[in-house]
Amino acid sequence: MERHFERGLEELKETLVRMGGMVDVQLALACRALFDGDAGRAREVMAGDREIDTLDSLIDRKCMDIFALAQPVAVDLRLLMSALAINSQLERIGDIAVNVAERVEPLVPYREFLLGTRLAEMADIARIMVRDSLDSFIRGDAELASRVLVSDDVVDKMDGALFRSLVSSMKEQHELIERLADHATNIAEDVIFIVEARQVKHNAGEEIRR
Amino acid sequence: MTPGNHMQRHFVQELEAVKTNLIKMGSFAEEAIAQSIRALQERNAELAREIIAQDERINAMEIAIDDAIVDLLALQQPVASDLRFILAAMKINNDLERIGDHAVNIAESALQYAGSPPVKPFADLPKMALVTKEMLRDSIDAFIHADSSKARAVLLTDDTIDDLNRAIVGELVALIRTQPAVLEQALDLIRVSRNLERVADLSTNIAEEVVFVAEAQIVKHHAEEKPSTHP
Repeated sequence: MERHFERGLEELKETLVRMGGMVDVQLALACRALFDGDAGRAREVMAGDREIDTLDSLIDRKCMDIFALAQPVAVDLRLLMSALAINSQLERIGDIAVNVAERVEPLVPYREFLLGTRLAEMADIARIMVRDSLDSFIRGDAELASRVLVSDDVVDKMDGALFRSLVSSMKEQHELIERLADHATNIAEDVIFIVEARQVKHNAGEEIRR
Repeated sequence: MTPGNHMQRHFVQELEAVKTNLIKMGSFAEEAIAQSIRALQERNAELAREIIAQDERINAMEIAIDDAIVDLLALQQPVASDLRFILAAMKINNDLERIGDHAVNIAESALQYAGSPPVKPFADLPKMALVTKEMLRDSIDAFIHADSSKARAVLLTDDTIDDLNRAIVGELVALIRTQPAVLEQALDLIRVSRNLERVADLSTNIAEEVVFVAEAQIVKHHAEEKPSTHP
């Protein structure tokens, strides 16, 4: 029974890492498409979401099988629940990559403006956070998990600053208003959502405290 | 009575307790959304601050339900459909906690908005809040009663929300174009609309879980190809 659980868990972790890698690529491509104004690449991101959805379902099923066959308790049970929660977080982050990709085309005329903001930097930090939080879970690394929490505050502050600078730019250049009012604030909020990756950090931290 | 029966009864009781707590948390989240919109409409800063403070309660509820679910899984070792139900409860618990966070976001926008003169009379936003609240209630209801047709109705309502969101944002952007001075206030309202739209998406997630449990099949990636939609 014990061995069965161990093997199942290892497999599960491998699949989660694969999923994390795919989500990271999706985020990277979506951001690059945004900053390059590349609508073709954005469409690739939208199409790529299907694969993530498939992996999400697969991981869910793997978890269910382990629950049913190995009937884990205590720490093992918590670990499995965390894996499930992390899986659904990753799937949602994949959706956010699609959300960003969807706005690439309408924002093409505002590319110069976007490049003048700190949005790219925010997106990079967000990606590192997703990667680190998943790593901290896989390796049971508490220190890494707490670093992710610190970055969260940094990105929150960047979001506030970005929003304020957008508002003042829009006041100066009225022609920017029409599209940016909607799209740019949406993107900034999406980045924040990625960064939140809340359950990941919550559960990773919990696992480690044990 | 055999020990097996005893275990069985115990399991049913604990499962009922989890359900009851999810219902409680659901109505709490629903109330938080309703009150945050009320704070916005009535320009009531005190109410907005209350909602922000109360989020701790929803967070505590989430942890308590999570712990109950762990106990249930560890002690009762459920299989098959019970297991699916419990794992769905776990996801729904997390969705409700997030809905609480959106209520806080709306309350924060309400606080901001109350600081300057209103830009326009409210029309679609309260309507959107009402539909969103109904979606949330119906999705929880569908879960508790394993009512997959009610859950499917929730999935369909999400289109109404997307339409309302698009209309609201469109109107506000048009307003900004003619009156650039109201930019900040209009952006506050756009944020409220987007938060409501996310709450509707989360309610849709809950409904998808219900259909999954009831029909033991994964609809979530087929029922709605698009992720959360934006205008």
